[in-house]
Amino acid sequence: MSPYLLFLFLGLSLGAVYASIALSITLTYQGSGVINFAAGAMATVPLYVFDDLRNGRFSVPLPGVPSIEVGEQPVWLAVLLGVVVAAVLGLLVELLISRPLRRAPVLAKVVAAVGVMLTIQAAVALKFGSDARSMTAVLPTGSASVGGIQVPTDRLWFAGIVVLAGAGLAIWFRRSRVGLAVQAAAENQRAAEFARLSPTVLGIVTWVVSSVFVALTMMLAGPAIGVLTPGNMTLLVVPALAAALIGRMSSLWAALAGGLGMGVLVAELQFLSQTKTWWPDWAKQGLTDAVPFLVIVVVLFVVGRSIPMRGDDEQLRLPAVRLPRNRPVVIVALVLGGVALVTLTDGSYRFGVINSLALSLIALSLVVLTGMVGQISLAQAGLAGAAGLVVSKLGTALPFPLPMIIGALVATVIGVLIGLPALRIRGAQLAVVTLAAAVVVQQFVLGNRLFVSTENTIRDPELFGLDLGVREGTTIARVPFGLLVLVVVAIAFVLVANVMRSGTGRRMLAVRSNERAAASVGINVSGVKLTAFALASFLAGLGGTLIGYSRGVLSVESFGVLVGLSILAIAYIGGIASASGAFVAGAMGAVGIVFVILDRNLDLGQYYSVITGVGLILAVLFNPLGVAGGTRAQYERLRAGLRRRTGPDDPPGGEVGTRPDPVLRRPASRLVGDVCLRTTGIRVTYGGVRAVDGVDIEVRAGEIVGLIGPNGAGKTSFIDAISGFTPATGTVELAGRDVSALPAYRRARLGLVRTWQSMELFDDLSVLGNVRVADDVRDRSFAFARDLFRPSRTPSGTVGDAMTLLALDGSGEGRPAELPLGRQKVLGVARALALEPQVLLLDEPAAGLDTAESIEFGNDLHQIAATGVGCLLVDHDMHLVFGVCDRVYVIEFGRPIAVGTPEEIRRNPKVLAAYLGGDHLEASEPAGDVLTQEPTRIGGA
Amino acid sequence: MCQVMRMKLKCIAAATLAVIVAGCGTGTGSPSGSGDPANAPAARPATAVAADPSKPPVLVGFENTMTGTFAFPAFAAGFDAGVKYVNEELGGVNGNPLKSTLCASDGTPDGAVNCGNQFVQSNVVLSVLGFDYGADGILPVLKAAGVAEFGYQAITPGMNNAVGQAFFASPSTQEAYSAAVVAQQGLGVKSLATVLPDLPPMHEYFETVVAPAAQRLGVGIRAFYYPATGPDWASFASSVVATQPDGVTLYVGDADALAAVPAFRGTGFTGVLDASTSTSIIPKLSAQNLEKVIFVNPFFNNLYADSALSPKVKADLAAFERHITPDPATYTFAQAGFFDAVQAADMLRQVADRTGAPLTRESVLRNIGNTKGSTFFRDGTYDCSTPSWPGTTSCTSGFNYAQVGAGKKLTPLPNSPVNVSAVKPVG
Repeated sequence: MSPYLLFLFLGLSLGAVYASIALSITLTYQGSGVINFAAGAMATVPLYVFDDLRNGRFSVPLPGVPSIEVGEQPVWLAVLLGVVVAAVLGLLVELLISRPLRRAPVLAKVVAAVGVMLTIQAAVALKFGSDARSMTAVLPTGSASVGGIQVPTDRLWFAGIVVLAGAGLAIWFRRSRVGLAVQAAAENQRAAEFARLSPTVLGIVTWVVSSVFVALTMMLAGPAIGVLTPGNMTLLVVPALAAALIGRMSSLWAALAGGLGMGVLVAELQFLSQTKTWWPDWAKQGLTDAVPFLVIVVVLFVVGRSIPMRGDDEQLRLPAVRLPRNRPVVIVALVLGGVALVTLTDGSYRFGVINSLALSLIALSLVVLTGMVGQISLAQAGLAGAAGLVVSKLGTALPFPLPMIIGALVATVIGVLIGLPALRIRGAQLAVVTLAAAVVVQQFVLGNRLFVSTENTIRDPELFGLDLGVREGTTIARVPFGLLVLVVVAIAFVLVANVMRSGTGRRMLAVRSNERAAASVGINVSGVKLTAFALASFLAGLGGTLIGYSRGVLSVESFGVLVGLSILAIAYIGGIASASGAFVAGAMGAVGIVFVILDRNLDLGQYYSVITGVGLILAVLFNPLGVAGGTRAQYERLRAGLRRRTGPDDPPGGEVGTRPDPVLRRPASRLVGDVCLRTTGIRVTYGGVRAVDGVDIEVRAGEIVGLIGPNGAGKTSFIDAISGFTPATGTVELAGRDVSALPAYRRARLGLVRTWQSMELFDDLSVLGNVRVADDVRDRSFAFARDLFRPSRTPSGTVGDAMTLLALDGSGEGRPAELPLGRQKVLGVARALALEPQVLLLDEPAAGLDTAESIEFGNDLHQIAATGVGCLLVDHDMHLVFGVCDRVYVIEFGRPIAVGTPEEIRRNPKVLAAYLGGDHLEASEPAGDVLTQEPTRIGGA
Repeated sequence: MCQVMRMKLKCIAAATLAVIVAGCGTGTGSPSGSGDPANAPAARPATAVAADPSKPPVLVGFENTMTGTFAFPAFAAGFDAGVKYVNEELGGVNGNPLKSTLCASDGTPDGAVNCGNQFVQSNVVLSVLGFDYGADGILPVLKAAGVAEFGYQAITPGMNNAVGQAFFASPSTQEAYSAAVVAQQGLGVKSLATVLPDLPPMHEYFETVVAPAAQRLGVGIRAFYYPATGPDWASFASSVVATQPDGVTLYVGDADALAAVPAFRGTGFTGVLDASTSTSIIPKLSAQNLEKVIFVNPFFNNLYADSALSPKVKADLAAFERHITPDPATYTFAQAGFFDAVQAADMLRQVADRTGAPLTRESVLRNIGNTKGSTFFRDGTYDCSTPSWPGTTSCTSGFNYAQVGAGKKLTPLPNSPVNVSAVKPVG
């Protein structure tokens, strides 16, 4: 038992390191919305200053500023100086980077954090040198007897101090005025601003406190952090992030406990793996790196969806996607341009061009995954490396291009596995999990000697006897190899561009825009995500194989974690939302053409790394759309200016969509058929509150049924329940089929389609694109393979009918946000209608509409029902409900209280009481305008 | 864990190897083909011959990690000083000035590829390796172009194995690992714990070199791989000591050694502790902690007791300090860079002598394998005609192990230089 106890105590000190960074990350996230991937790197700056002063040197942590010999100084002074440096660093990061990016896309914040990390690493190496330093103990040394074992005293002190300081921080965060303000702002930034809580002040407080906290604890940690180098603390963020996720990025207590627990787990596993003969050799490699990954995956799988996002995260959007058109003329011109670049350059420049092309495939993988689907991955370089590894293994056994294809397929399989957690999470959390996955890929795949030997030469490709090798003699980049890469890249880009503008691309964009809405129109969100991960991984793998061929030997360091971070960064800077951005990113990558030009013509020397990091930060700050996105935006502005000069266009959704006759008309005849929707005993519970309690309804084909009730009666919860968007008990039958166990998208595909109170349109798609998604959902057989080669298909008649019926024809090419509110509501209905529903669930479609729009909508609803669709209408507009509905259900406090015709409901005492309160029951007149008013005008058709 | 950490660990491993491998030679080789550095006095010797600036220079490429998280600019400074020494005092390369083109790598394979491209385009006759963990990336480029690689130490597997392509004036990695076992066995160790970074080559070297060597010598052995995240040495040492070894060999860098040695002693471990190359920890640790701690150094340097240095080595050190005043913290790197320049010039002189024609990359690649001579900063010799360990690119053999003696100066162990013939495979 004693060894385990010893490692428990030793693990606590390691866990204290994790915990302190986890607390810092959590606090920063709450205060500013930034997941600070640079937390570990930031801590190195005060640590070096502290260590220098302990050794008699006063250092200002700026490259080029000389240190001053000041002789031996007391420890407290060194600690104080370290704290001051940490505070200043936190302040600078907040003011210069975090604050300007407060409303920037999540991805911009991730890239900025990566930029900070790279800059600090390079600057620290430049200022303090790269020699590792040993940290000496600050706390009392010696050993103490605990439970019969000797434990180093400084570790006990350190763990104890972190626990106490962490607890103090947690109490401050939970109880203090500032802490409460930070939490309030995290929940709702706008509301906090109204309450005069300055996000700037809160940002400064959290950045400074978190930076100081982690620096202080690291200074006290001494040998517990191992040795100090410019880079060795950088990826301590991975276990720290795992601990922060245990605390759901909001609870400092849980993050503290999580960090300590993980440290103990790692220490105990390390003890077992090193000392027990039964521990398999293969599982020793990278063990301590795998633990945080597993913790992250498990935590996200269990609580991922319940991890609260910051209030302002909801507004954050990625740059608009620029869909490629694949015009033959443009493709031919680009290919000819590529041929010219390959043939007219030579030497290093040609090598740079070729390398840029190969890298552009990895960047393109991020365009697909991040730009199209909104999934952030930091593991693409690792996937490329895995594919390159396959080529090094199979290159001599199989003829080209089989190793290349198999390599890309292996990357695809790994990529899909990495993508599984994405089924439950997205955004920065996914960045966290893929970062951890990248570490594991590096250690278990690229770093595992089961796969990697000391030499991983890659045989030159050869096709039909033609030597396609990269080099021959002093020719360091041959034209045939360049053309081979060009052909592969061109084919990949054309096919991916086809996918992007096809139904598959629309489904991807729908998921990026709004996962909930996507599921409501029958899109299998998980399937789309995994498809994107598969396609992106294949592309990254393809890029990795080409890089491997260009090197002639696989070096796993070419595909390490930091390389992955850099690739994401340059892909973002290039333009993450457009295929052309991938080319820009490729040009800027390692040994790409930009690097070669700079390297051959500018002597940036040892400042190169710092300049690169700073450039990355500046690029994010001043051009958040990326180079390609920014250029496109400029172009669009120019076009808009020209249009203004030549005369104004009709605004989308303006005159075209307005109908002048605001009269609610019932069609001459509307047949009501069999029951198409029957719900029995639907119950929904939120915590201890029963929102819906045994609601049974029936809707018949062609019938319009109303569902009304006071605010909070449970109407929307009921719609959510029967459409599959909230867990519920009870039975939902669609045309006699029990669909209760089916996920939302399956119910939608079977014909149980809903609209949303808050519209939930796909803002990244055009108006027509929103409706065309119905075609894409309907026509799924071999859709991906078909879209690769034949993307452009005309919209179906159903889509056209829906557009025509709801008078959206003239607005097809515009964006949903450009439509008036009423037309946006109508678009939501059109999208649902195009799915050819059996039952249409309409959740407050008239909310926000004026009277005329409401009447128009009522007419539309009659038309829809006349086609045989059963409609369940939830709305507060009683003119509309009583004007169009054949029957009306009324619920109160989640329970049904009445059902009948509008006339019966209008005079039902229970309904009156529900709406107006018990006193009105005694009134002689059926009270309340809300229920007794007649519709504005009801006329025959 | 990450690339940085991998680099750091490679640094540790490489630095360890660098020191271990560069022990003193066997003393059986023939003398250098040109100016004998043993005769270099403290001041510029009267016999010093400068290169003829009117003759065309001999261009070599010098690749070194200059940027990134682990940069070694001291190595390049040492190399430049060495080139200066060669041109000012050793007559250049048979009168032709030695000229170098620096390629600043960032420690990645991609940076090395870029350096290879640069060297091939610059038409260098020889590529000289400084310190670069990504160095293997340059090999395919040089191989295709027929350019030979030279360096003081093969710190990466590819360089260690590129027989016929690369040549290193230090013992091989395999010999380094073997010698560590032999040295421990010579001190009476029966049960040895080997502490290595958790990297694939380390696993491979342990299984193919260390374990067989221990088996042949009848030493019980066990490997402990420390994590790339940088271990908490108190915790890790406790794991190792739990298996009750009587000797521990650490493959660590200086900073880790500074933490590891007290950590092992803190567990109560009193056996032999091989701290590899980390001599910089000597002034920082107590004599009690340094008891039964052994070291191995790439070169003789000012840490050694004066009595341990031969006149030749003293002259070499004097020449070194005439041309550069290195920072004590990076003394070893500067020494290695200086060594690179002097040894490369020595080899090129021999090639030029043999061919009687201006040096080209082809003639250098064809003939560099036949060079032999004395090694700078050491008493031994090098001979590139036969690998010192079968299947490797190493031109020298022999290790100098030392312990801390009076005045905290290093004194060679009785069994030093370590003879590894008992565990060396027949090649």
